[in-house]
Amino acid sequence: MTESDEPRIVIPPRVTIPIGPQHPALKEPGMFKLTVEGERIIDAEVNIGYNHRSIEKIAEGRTFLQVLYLAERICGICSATHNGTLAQAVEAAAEVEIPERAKFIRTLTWELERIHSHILWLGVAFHEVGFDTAFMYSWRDREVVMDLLETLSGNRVNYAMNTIGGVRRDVTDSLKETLLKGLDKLEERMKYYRDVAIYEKTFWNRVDGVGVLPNKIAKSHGAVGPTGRGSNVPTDVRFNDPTQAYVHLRDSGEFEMVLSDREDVAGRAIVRVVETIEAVRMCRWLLHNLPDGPIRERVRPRIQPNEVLARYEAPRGEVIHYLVTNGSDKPERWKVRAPTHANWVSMAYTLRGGYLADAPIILAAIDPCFSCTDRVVLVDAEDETIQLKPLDVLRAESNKWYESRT
Amino acid sequence: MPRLGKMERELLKSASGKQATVLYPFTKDGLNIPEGLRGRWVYKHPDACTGCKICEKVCPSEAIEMIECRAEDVQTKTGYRPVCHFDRCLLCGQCVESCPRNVLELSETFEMAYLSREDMIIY
Ligand code: SF4
Ligand code: SF4
Repeated sequence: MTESDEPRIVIPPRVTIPIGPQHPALKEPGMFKLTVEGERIIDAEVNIGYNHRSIEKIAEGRTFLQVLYLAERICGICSATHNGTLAQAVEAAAEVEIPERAKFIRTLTWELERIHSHILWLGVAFHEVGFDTAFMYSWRDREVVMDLLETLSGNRVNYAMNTIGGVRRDVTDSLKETLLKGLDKLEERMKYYRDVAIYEKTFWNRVDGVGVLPNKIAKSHGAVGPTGRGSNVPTDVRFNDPTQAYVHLRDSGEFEMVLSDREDVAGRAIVRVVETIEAVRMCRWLLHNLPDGPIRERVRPRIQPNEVLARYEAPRGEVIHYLVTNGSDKPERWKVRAPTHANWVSMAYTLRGGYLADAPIILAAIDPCFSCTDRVVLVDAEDETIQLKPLDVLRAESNKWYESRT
Repeated sequence: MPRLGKMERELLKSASGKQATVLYPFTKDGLNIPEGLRGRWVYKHPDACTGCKICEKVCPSEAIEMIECRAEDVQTKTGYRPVCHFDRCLLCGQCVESCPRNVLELSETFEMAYLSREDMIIY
């Protein structure tokens, strides 16, 4: 391995760039092998499966209650997602119906999580295109929702709100007031960031027409979540197959699935910002219509033999928990399909034909929590010299490349 | 004159506004520690503890160990009491919830960095 101060220029350069696979800080390390000709990506290959944590196997030796806390740690950003979806799966296997109030509070936590996740994404996207001012501002305002979640659950990241048969903490009247106040602030700020994303050229020119994923490909490659919806694929479990309080949300007729037919990174960005505003409205609706009653139902620890599939629309797309129970207090088999897994597939297609400088934002556009500690290796195909580049260097170079073009 | 960008006004407002971050650890003002934070584990009401070991059983990360009551401890019915190996604790609060006698608590202490594992065993 060599590293020279002078960047080498090979003409015509056909270079394979492996990105990854080691990202110890990430939940889903992946490896992207990009073959580039000059600045154009002509081929992309996605490899995953590098970081096997054996969570599903560990779960088989723990009780359902204990697995809840393990599930929460599949992903730091989607902690309520996995925690709640597993609780939902176990409840379905036990064939118990949880109280209405519990359903509302569970959904409220989910929607608050969606708000924080989407603002996080927006900040990362701003950062990827070199618009760090907006990155700082959006993350400053993200603290509002982090504080709300902390007040609601007692922790900023791992909310542990759900238990089998309901939720663990109630929403008191004073908490409701705090939440409503915070939501007003969030809505105002999100409307502002929506306008920033759409009208500020610094951002828009870098995402407009970049990373195109045509509707047909999105469908055939099984894109989920905002990646699919940004290509006009109507896939949203909250509306297609609602559970918990989403049934009431859908039936109220006040909310609609957010779609964009732009098919590029801009489309995905619009879907996310508009969805955040929708999520704020949903939270408000949930708080205003919160039914009275108990927040949990007792469920016996042993669950009868059963086989269930629980779905939920996580911030990144559809998440699936498949659970087989065998009459004991431990799962027989538990399988989780996280949304990023589904989105890797269409990723290779989106990268093809784009510029290398767009790779960071295209990768970030599926929101894989990819951007913090990644490193890139530049392999020269002629003499196989390798340059190790951290992603932030690549990002800086990408931004410079764009500057030099204008 | 070039058209102003979408963010100019916001930039000016922020430049004159107060700083968003807190100067922790020099001050704790503005940290907004909420009521009901799940912080450091405490064996709050030893008098009520029966030594039933439920907390040990439910803990997902095997952080709780039941030890024989030492001379200085409150003697429980079974002669055992819980201690928390805090390095393993997830702060999930399941022990607090499952304890039939409301003995345990996750306090609002959030400063939980220690220099050795020994310091992390909470009696
Ligand atoms: S703390 Fe509570 S659960 Fe643990 S042994 Fe004492 S009484 Fe039992
Ligand atoms: S808070 Fe959770 S992890 Fe910590 S001791 Fe209690 S049950 Fe165990």
